[in-house]
Amino acid sequence: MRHVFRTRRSRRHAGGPAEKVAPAGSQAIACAVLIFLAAPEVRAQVTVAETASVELSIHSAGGERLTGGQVKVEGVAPDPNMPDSSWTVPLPLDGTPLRITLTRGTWYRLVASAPGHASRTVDLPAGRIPRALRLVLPVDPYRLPPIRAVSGGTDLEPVARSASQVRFDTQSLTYAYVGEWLRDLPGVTVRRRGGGGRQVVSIRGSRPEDVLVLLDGVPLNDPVTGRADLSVIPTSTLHSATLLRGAASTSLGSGAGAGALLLTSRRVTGTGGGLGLRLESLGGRGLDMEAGTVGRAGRVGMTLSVSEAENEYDFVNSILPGSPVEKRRNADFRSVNSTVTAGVGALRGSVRFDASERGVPGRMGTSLYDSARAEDRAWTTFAGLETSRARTSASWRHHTLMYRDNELVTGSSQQVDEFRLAANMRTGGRVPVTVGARLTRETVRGDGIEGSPGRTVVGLQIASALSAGDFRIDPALAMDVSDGVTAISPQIGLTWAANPSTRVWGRAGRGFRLPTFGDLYFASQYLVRANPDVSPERIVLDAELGAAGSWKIGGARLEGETALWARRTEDPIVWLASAVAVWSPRNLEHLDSRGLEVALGLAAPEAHFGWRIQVAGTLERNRVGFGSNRNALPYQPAATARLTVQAWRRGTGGRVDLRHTGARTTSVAGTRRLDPFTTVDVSLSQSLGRAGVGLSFLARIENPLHQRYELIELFPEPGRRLVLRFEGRKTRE
Amino acid sequence: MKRFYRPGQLPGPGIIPHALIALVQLTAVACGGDAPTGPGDAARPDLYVLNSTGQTVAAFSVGSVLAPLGAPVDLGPGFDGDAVDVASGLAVATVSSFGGSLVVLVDLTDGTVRTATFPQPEGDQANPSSPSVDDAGTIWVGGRGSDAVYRLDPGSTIAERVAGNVGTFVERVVPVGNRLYAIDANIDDDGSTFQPLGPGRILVLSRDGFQESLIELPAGAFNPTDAIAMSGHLLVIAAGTFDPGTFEPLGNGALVRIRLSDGVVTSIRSLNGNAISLEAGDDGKAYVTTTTDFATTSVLRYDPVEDDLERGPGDPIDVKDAAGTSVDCWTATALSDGRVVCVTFSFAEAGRLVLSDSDGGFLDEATSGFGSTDLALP
Repeated sequence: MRHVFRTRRSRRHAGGPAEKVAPAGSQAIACAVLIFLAAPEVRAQVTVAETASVELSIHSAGGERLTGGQVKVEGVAPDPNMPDSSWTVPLPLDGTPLRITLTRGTWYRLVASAPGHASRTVDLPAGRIPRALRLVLPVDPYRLPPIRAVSGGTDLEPVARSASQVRFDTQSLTYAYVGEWLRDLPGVTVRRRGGGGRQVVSIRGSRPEDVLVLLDGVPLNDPVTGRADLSVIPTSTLHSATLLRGAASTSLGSGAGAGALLLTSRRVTGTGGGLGLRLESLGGRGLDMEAGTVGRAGRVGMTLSVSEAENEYDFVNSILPGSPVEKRRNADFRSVNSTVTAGVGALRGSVRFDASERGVPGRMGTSLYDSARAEDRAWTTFAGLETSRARTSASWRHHTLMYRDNELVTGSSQQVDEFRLAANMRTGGRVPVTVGARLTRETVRGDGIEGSPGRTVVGLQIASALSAGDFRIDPALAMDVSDGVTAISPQIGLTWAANPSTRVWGRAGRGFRLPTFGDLYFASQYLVRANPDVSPERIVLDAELGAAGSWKIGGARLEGETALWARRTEDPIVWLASAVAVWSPRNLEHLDSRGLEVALGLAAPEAHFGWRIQVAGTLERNRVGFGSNRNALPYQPAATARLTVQAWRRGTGGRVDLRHTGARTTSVAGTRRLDPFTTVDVSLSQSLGRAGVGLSFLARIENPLHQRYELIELFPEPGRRLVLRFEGRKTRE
Repeated sequence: MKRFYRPGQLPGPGIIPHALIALVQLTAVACGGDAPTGPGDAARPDLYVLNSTGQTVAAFSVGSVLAPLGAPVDLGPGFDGDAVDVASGLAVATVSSFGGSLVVLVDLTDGTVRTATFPQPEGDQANPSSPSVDDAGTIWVGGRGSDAVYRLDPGSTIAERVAGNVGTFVERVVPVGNRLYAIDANIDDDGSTFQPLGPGRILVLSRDGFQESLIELPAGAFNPTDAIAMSGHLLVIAAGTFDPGTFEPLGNGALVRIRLSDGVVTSIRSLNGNAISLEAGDDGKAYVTTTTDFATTSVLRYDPVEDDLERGPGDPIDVKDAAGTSVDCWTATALSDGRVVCVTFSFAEAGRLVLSDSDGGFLDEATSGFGSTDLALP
């Protein structure tokens, strides 16, 4: 019996809050408490005489000290007849090492876990309690760290919606580009015009312009086309990404009609640095550098990423007689990305520069664009202040886009300036209320745009959270005003926390998207007309019903999440040809989307040998048109699926991904379809820790079976591709 | 058979920012399905429709009503053109340089599709004009990008260049007897302004490509885009011009009549609009469609024998649908009994094939397919 109350005493020393304690059983607790209270002298005596402290630090494979996890301490009794005891201690949020007091002579098992990482188990045999213990957790791409993207959001919102998050500072090996992460997510499709092409994202059957992409709070969406190119931002310059599925206009304003992708630049987490190297097939090369320092005065850091790829590969030209094998040309890509960040207390700021230059080849069969080039340059500055009750940020982005179609035509360029100011403040009390405001100012000038149009949008937002038992209601309302247009975006969410690991939610809301500057101000050209009378498109209903849970099955854990969603957009803005093929934007009647997302994973995340199997898939149906006409959105597959099998042993891991993309129509005419395709990716990874330096290596063969397919018709994708990535980090918090 | 739009200039990256192309291609919307395929029967097609967006050629019989015949022929994913000619058992269309400069040949007996390319060095930059098929089955094409004239024998996979340095922008090659009439739009395509450099011209060539003479179109006949031979005359539509600032049509299209025997221009008719298409009807009349606003169209009828614009811009044929609503025809022609057939272009829904009496009164209608841009009488 003495062993039992020693253990309880030790638990108190560990400093974990009472509600975090995981009791070994109600009977044991009652017994322990009684003895503990009845024999204080004995307790003091044995604690002093037979305990020892271990200083525990938990790091990711990339070297970062983890703060959001926990350590489960299991006391394994030397006498099998004695009851076991266990308790759980959260990792300190300030990053300091965790000190745990243990009883000498007891066999302990420590299970360290942190969101976004696979857990790790360490046995401490009786009599072998070290003074310090450093545990490195392998990155787990399927468990998401509890972070929040800043700028313009509300802390209350993500509860009743399907969202995914990732921290790229710990997963830049697995995901070198944002698109690599997005393609792992259900409800999301990423497409491009062949290797090296610009990359756009669609959420829940949307068009890319209905997904708002914010980088440090400022839109990446091109004000002319409404689309964001994700191919130009390497994750080595990013801290995190948050994907919000479903309309998010209530918190983010115009453009988030189908969802939003929130990106944040790399933050400083400690003193040290990192170096990454990427080598890929088709001439892909990349170098990533990172350095930072944290002192009493504050923190400052920088990143630099340089990438290039030739993207020349063979393909079968199916439209020429005899279907000859040709080489894809002018798909090369070069980019430079750099960030400088600094922070003092709750104040944070960053400046980043992103530049890319690439070829823009035409579709197969034509050399008309063999010398077409595009160049993008953008400066983004961000300043933010975050406290527990208030948050504000200001962002500005100056973006220059240049395009030259061939030697015979003078290139065109546009300059875009975007400013975004957002502030949220949360009140205390039993019913917390978040009040927010946002202001966006966009201007564009240059070739192809009539004049120098600008637009200011001002939005106000209020949100709350009402709790009753296991239920929580999240009502929110936003109003945005711009140039005489007023958009009201209400939203309500209901969450039922059935138990600590299971939740069910429902959400319904509205959203809107203002016309792009291209819709309104494109200079008239041969067969192209802008339409200054086009109206904003309105998401009159965006609803979802979801459930997520986690269950222990034997030695494994089953995790699942599913969501059923529907969205109706009225007056969708669509570019259409007139009766004599003059193109201009106009409002159609409806765009309806609905679908089902499912993700199911079974895992045994042990340290010595662990494995995970995950299945994820999406079924969706989208129809756009007017009157009795309803057609599928082009290039939106009705079904996508992924099967991932992952296993690891200590720092060595392997992963196989099987991805399926269903048939897609190639135009709204719907007369032609691209065949479904399935690809396999195989990857191996190794993580080492030596002298405080975290070393990681990833080798991946994408599409080893050399499947040939097209994401966009007549723009062939490369076949087999080898990816090698190396990363070394030494960081001291 | 042809309109003043140039397939290579349809909203492609060469004309507008690449981003807009992505926008248009990924978001442009049409509705419904392609033309429904009718019950296969042994009826002889009376009419073929080219569906540019749908990338098909559809056959129809025209009795008292319109009836689709069989499944439309798929022209392949690379098809990017807007004109078709039918003769000698072949339906022939061309693909612009945006799609790689090809000639697409459909064997109408079995529906097989073949493609032919253009010789180097221009190759895929030839940017072929609308095709013409002569009675022997030889295909004649102008190279708008290469300023050349080509011939293609039906069995060949590579066109043969028979003449080079033919004007600035060859819009059509019309074979008549032993001569070729190459219609030169005479516009600034190299500078991409597409503004006229002067009135259009017609180069008269032998079938071997030797230039025999040059016919200068009269002042005011700007931007000729199509021509047909009828009743001993060559009829040419000068599409007209557009405002270089606003790109709005200036309404200065014209119809020019040239006597084939001596190459003399015998008349020029103002169309009070920009010309879109020119078709030879089986009733011996020529049918012209025009627009004044890039949104609505008019159908005109011209008698080449009498040099009479029977239904001119002041009195166009107002083709009606069943509801009595005017139909905006992209192109129109007539059967031997004078009934008018026309197709509409729509990207947002299936186009309409409308049959009317000679005055435009509604008789029947069928869906023609997505993006119908041409029709041809075999």
